[in-house]
Amino acid sequence: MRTPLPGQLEPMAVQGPQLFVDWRYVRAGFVGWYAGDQRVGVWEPAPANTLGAPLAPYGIRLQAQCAETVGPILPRDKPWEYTYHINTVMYDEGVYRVWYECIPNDHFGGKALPWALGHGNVLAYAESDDGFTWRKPRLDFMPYEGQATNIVYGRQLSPNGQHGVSVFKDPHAPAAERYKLIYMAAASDIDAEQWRARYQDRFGDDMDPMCFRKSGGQERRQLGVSGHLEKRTHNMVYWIGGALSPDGLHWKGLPDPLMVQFSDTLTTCYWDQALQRYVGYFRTWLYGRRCVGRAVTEDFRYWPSTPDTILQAPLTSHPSDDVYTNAKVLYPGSGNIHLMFPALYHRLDDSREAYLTSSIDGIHWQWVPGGPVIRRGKLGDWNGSDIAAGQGIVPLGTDRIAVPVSGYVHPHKYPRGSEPFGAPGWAVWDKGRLCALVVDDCGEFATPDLHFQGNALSLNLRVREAGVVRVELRDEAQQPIPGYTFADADPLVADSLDYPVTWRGQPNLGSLADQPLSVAFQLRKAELFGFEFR
Amino acid sequence: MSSTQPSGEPYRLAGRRLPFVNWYYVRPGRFGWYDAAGNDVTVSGNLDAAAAHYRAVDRPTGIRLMAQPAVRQGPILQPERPFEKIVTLNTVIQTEAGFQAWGRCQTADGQKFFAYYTSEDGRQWRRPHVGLIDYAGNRANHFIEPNGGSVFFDPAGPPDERYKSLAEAYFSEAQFAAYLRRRPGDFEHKALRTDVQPGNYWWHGGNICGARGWVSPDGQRWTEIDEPLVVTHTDTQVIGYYDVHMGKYVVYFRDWLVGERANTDAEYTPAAWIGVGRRAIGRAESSDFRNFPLPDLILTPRLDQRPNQVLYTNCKTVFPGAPDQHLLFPAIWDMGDDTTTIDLASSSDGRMWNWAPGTPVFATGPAGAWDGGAIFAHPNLLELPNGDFALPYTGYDVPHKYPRGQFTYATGYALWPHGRLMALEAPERGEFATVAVLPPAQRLVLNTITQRAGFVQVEAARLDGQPIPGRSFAEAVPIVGDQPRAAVRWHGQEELGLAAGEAVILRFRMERASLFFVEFL
Repeated sequence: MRTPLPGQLEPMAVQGPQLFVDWRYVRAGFVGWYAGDQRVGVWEPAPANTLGAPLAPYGIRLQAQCAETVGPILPRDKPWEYTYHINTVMYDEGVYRVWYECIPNDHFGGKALPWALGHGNVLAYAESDDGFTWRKPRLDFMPYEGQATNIVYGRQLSPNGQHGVSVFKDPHAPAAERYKLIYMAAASDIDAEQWRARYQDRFGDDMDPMCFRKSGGQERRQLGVSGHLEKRTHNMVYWIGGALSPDGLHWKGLPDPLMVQFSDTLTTCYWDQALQRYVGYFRTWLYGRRCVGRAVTEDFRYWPSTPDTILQAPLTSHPSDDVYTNAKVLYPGSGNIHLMFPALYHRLDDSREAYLTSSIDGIHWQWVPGGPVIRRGKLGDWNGSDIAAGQGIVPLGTDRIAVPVSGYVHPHKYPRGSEPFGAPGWAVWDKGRLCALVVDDCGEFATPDLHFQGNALSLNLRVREAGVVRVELRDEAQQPIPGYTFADADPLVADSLDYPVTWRGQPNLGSLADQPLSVAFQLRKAELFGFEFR
Repeated sequence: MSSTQPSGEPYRLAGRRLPFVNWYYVRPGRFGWYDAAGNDVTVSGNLDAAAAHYRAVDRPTGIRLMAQPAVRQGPILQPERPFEKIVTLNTVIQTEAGFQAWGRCQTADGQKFFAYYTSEDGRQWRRPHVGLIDYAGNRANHFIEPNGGSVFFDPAGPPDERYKSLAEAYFSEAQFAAYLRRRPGDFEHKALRTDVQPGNYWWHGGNICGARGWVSPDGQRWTEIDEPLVVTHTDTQVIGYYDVHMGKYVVYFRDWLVGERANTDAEYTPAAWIGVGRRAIGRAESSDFRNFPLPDLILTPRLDQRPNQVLYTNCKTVFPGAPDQHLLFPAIWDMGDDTTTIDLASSSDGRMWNWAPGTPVFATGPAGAWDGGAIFAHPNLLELPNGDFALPYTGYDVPHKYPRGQFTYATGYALWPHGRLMALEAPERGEFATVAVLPPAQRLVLNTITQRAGFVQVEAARLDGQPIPGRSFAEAVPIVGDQPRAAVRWHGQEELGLAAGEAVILRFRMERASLFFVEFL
């Protein structure tokens, strides 16, 4: 299906910070052929003095930037926090809010529990004013071993278990449903065929066969290809579940499936303002390897189709690598910079590291060159053997931006029962510096025509002493606007997250906001991370 | 959308070959953490960290994929008849009987015709007297009724529509109106090219851009479908095929990756978006050849390519002998120098694509050569009688947008000797296992090359992973040297020793070797 965007043409609306995480803000350009000053048409004879005149970007490349990892940031001080995965972080009206998934230690104590391992998880909640000092509220929702807890969902609070949960705020929903949960739900020891027949009217045949598990038979072989271990609880049925809340604390679980898809590990969702639809990112499988899929719906309670796979590991990765998680976010304030921090799972050594992928529409994704951006720490450190990103990207102080991560001392699949494991942390970048447009020598490029608000332009850039950046503004005919030409441009030499662009000392763009314009750059030994009109 | 069919082993093979153009046939492997007694304690284990050890089964190691560069050959078709000035091939189809080709002929007096060719070996081309088109008062020629730019054979089509053809076209307002009556609102806004003057070029009947279709009983007499198959801005190569497995037609289009237009009062100029958009590849599928939905964008320029490089054409084809392994050979147009290279992408379902490491596989020739300006590949990837793979391409003597008043062009082959298109390489020591497949035959040959101290060994196992008695590594005869068709042997045995309908897993040990494909005989 085509993305129902309102159009796909120039000028491109820019509002808020814009990042160079793909080529959307670099005009592809063209090459013209000229005899002297005269352009020669494609179907005309070529005079002997015909020369090419490329009007195309050159000397630039994209390079994903590696984050600094900081952690653990949230203490493990409750008995239900035996394992610890940070799922969602939100900067919500001045407060950092975190929802994290725990497997309580009674799962490892040999107790007979009504939930299978992995589906008796609980969702706990904490909040903070600075992202480092956290409050864990004592809530009455679900006591554990006689104590009040900060558990807000899962076990008896959920009609159908929970696994791989994420939380999002739905700006267009009624107040009672302002917050939503999405996760993989499960039920054990039920008649799978009866369950399937019950939901046939709702989903037709569009049910993932992997949702119906029993030992032996076809399912065992299927899992063998996938690399899973072949030891599963009998007669499990899985689906995508949801819950609604007015405040992110009090949740009402939806008993019916939203979709019948086997999406174990982090499932994410958001309300897409442009599409006027909910968009979810799920785990899918392609020839025995984990991938990321995407699905959309107008009704959160009913997703009409299972996901289309939209991201797989590149062929340059190891043949046993999987895309384990998606960690899909929109860059804050941008509205249209879709990012994922997918963890590539290396079966080779049972570890994960997170990469950066970008998209202009959330459907078509590119791996940003530069390798992993969230890397493991030293062996033995809290993140020394395994690390993956959770959902969310939030400001940290005034100058930094952070993605929540879960780090592990041990490899991903072992050991999980010997001692508490999993620690939350931050992957931190300087604000806007997720990816650099790098100029190793000299380079030039121009943006497409932009439609902006404001009267000044600032750059997020790093230019060393011998380097320089100059900026020119061009009209729709790609002609320099008088007063804003390269000749008028002040040389920019700085390492700044927010450096004003000036022409003969003046930053004011006057009335140019009323007309589409292109921004052209001349650069030498520079890194450019983003720009913003204000 | 998830397939409602069960996934997993054993895989079906659509042909006799098992190529390595992606990781589809390479088992990702599994592993576990095991305690001293050999118990699996993965995930749920509660021992100390050092009390369990990682043990992998069929974990691929020491291998990588690498596309191979093609060898240039051409022109492979030269003007022969007195009236021929420029002759090219746009589509070549390979059948058991030989080769059929469709192309164009520009005559010495400046006329342009569609033309039909046949060949037994893919090298010597005949011009059958089709007898359909009068030229210079004579029908003894190979000119045919007009068709589009690409042709495919439709095994499911009725006898009078056994061949089908597709091309970009510009339709009239009347044709568009008829289309809209059938499909209200189902068009792409970019396709409304009011800036195009109808009749300016031979393919500009109007100014509504879309895909045109033709049908034919024999590939010579063509009937044009009046209305667009879909109204989308597909302004270069359009290629289709009938997918036997899905029972649907699949078409690959020129598509565009462009940003979202602001909500603005600024005047909309048709085609202005071309300046900022990047050419890309789209795909649509349909049960009805006369109606395709708007294509989905399935391949866009990579972020590690230069920002002025775009995907100009798609050249969709399949791996010879493995029709379920889909290939694209897009022409990458570099607007920095107006030349092109040919890249390679692969897919196991035609929807999700991966770029091949090592790409591009072919480049524009040296300046001054017949193909020294720009090159564009055409379907299909052929297997010549000597085992070489050949991809037809058109070479131009000047860059793509250079003034074309005096330009010349011709057809060549990008050749991969011995069918060595893409290698699974073990630069040092490597191991991997395939997924289980249902073999179409009991004997195997490998297309492989090893260094002097290198080798390849094969073990055959059943679906449960256990080696078939007598077909283990211990009995495997090492394969050494440059071997396009090396028989796999185990102490003199060549048969796999499987019961009918039984699946097989193949395990490989490689030392300084490249493996190109496996073939069941």
